[in-house]
Amino acid sequence: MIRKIEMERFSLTSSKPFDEVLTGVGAAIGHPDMAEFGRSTHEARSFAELKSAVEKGLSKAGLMLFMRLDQGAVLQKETGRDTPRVIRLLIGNPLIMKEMAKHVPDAGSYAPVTVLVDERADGVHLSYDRMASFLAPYGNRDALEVARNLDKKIEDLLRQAAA
Amino acid sequence: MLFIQLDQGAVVREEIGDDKKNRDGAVQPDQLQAI
Repeated sequence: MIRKIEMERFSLTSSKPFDEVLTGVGAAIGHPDMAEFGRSTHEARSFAELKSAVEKGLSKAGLMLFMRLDQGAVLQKETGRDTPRVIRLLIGNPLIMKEMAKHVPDAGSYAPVTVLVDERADGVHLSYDRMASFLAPYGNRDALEVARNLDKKIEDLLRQAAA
Repeated sequence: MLFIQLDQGAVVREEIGDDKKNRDGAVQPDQLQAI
């Protein structure tokens, strides 16, 4: 089966230096030790324990970094230059993912979300594909409400980092 | 190559498991409140 999904891509361009924008995004999300995070969530004997383990890794905004991919490094190796700079961040919150995935299993494909930070001639671009647009076709009101709240969290974070 | 493997079902399973325990009387009200 093939399903077509119309995705909304949120994008901002910042005149701030790349590192400053990246630091701004990083400051708004938690940075748990992923080995420890994996261990503590795996060993949780109840949902309460799991929730507690997750919450330790979250920022005030309720988000954490799962993975950072330096995609620019691959491009730079080929060109021999120190540009372009491209960082892909996988950001999320397993408790938010759960609230969507228990209604719409396909939500697991989209969480954690991707934030792309890349440097171009006109500035530093911050891009994010809206969760609500991915889930809209499934027509589940509860999952969509969670997705919209997540979108707001991420977009607020990106606006602050870009400003 | 595999970059990362996330057991996303674990979060949902834990919650379902806790709900079942609660129905069976194994979870105390204060623990339920914490959820």
